[in-house]
Amino acid sequence: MTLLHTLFLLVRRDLKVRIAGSYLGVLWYIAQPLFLILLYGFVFGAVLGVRFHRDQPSELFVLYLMAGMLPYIGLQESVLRASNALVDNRSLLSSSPLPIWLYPLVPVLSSAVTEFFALLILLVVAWWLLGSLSVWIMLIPLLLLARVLMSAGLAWSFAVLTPFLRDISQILTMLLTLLLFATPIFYPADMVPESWRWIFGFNPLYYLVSAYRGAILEGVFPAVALCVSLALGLVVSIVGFLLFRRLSLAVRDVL
Amino acid sequence: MSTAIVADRLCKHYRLYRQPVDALKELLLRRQRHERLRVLRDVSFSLDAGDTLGVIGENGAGKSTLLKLLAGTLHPSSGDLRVSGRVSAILELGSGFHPEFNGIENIRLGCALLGLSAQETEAALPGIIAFSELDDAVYRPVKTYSSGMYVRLAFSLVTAVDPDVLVIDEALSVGDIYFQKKSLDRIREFIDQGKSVVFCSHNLYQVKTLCRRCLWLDHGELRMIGDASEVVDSYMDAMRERAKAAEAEDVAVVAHAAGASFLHIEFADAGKSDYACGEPLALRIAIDPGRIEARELHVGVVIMRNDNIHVYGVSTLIDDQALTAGEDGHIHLVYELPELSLLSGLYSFYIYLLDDSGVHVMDKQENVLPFRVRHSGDEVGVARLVHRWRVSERVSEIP
Repeated sequence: MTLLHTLFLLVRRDLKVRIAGSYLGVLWYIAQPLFLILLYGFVFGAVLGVRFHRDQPSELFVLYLMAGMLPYIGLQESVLRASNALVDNRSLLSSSPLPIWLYPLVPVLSSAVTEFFALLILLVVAWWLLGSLSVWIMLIPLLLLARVLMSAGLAWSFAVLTPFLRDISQILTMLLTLLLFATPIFYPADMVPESWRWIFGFNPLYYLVSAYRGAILEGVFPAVALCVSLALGLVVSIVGFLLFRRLSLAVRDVL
Repeated sequence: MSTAIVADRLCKHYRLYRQPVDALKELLLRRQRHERLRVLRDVSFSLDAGDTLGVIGENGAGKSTLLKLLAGTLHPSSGDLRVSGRVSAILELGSGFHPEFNGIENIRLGCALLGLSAQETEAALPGIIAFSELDDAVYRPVKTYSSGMYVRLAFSLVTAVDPDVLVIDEALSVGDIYFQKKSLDRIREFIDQGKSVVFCSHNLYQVKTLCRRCLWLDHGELRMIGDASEVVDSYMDAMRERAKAAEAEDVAVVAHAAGASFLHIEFADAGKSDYACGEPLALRIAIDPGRIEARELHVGVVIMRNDNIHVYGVSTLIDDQALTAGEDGHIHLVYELPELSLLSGLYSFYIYLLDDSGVHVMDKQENVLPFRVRHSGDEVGVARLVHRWRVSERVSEIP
């Protein structure tokens, strides 16, 4: 109980710290991803003319893009920030008896909070453009859960590995960009030549993005995609946690 | 009486890697790639509930590591440590504070980091604010605080938790004098309430007055544990010994053809080298005047503490004491201190045989007859000076 309360306080502080002293405050959490989405939307949708369906108007392209970008941005942000969680909180680690696995979890949970509000905007825009919303938007908590589980597993892994090998934070930035382009976020999966499509099978984010789009935009129950996402999320988080536990005593010697 | 802390052959070593990635390779390949830095070796002790333990030692002796082990932020490499009850540690004051947030917000998070629940935090909040004396400043961001305010907030926070065992590391050397006293009083309160306290400080006086027992760490090993004033005194002796400068100025002896020299110098109370403050101490000095007249010789006696402090030096020349030869042609002299007024420490004698001008040294015996003094009570310094206190009604009555 106390642990949960502490986690809540840490997440709240994390969210407040990043906007402390700024004029727009909370709005920045929404403005940042929206800017990216509009930018990519312009380049891929208007300039390059990519479409997810035949004769899709460009507004709807942006909607698809947004449904793909939001989980990606959440994952990217949590993993990048978590990879420095132990290094940044070094002084706290040595003065508080809290279990150290809490610290990588903080950026993951704050990203879930910001993603939740971004999703609300997505819903508003979708309702406005599509005229109605499907009932499957009630799956959003499950979608978010799958996203958080995946991010947490990666967050723990990278948080505990980075202190041993600082180069990881550099490599991570590249890996995450690679992930962005290796996932059908800017383009539909069927634009990729068939001989390459098997790669998506190994990309957890592929299932997640499909589930997001299915539930929020296409009005279908994304049974397979959602189940695979949740299962993968569970596996990734358990593996990540075990790795973290295994290395957490040794990591104190190199911090 | 129950025990609060039991430490059994406690060891802590850090692994030193040439580069951090070696630690990872070691885990994966199971080949040793580190050097061990032993910080604590086989430290065993126990502390009764309600007792107070001081921890002293030089820098790098392992004090902080021991306290971190007690606080639970580090784990022993081997050995057994049991601490019963809730531990609150003042190790790094305010390390969890965030500069952008105000005092209250930092207190709330700080309490949570110390393991308090939300209700306990709210209950403790008014007390923390009151003790810190920050008043309205608690609503300002911590980055606007002076370092004194910062420390006040941190100290109030840590001691607001109601611990069974309080671990304090050097925390009191910060803040202004007024707050230092206040925090010291708070610690005393804890002691009076029957809590166990482990207190580490370079301020040996504080250790002596606050703690009943004391533990001396020397290069990671337990050098001594016992009654606080005894351990502190021994520690100070050892420190002065080490601090002793290369050597005091060398007094040149004038080789005199006439060859006056000391025959022997000894304590009147033969073999006694431990004295209590207030006891009598006497030296017997025998001199062979050679071919010099006894009355043309003088003897100087200097008492030095082992850190080369000249405590007191006097000579027969200064005191106008004439020397005479005895029946056997030798001079037999007694140097007597009817009431030794030295405080605890290690001392020794520097004894010189001088000519009638007091300028030439005919013979010398330096750093001889070491003796140890112990005093009871909390006075500090080198010697007990004769003094008295008076309280007057009016200023004019004080001379």
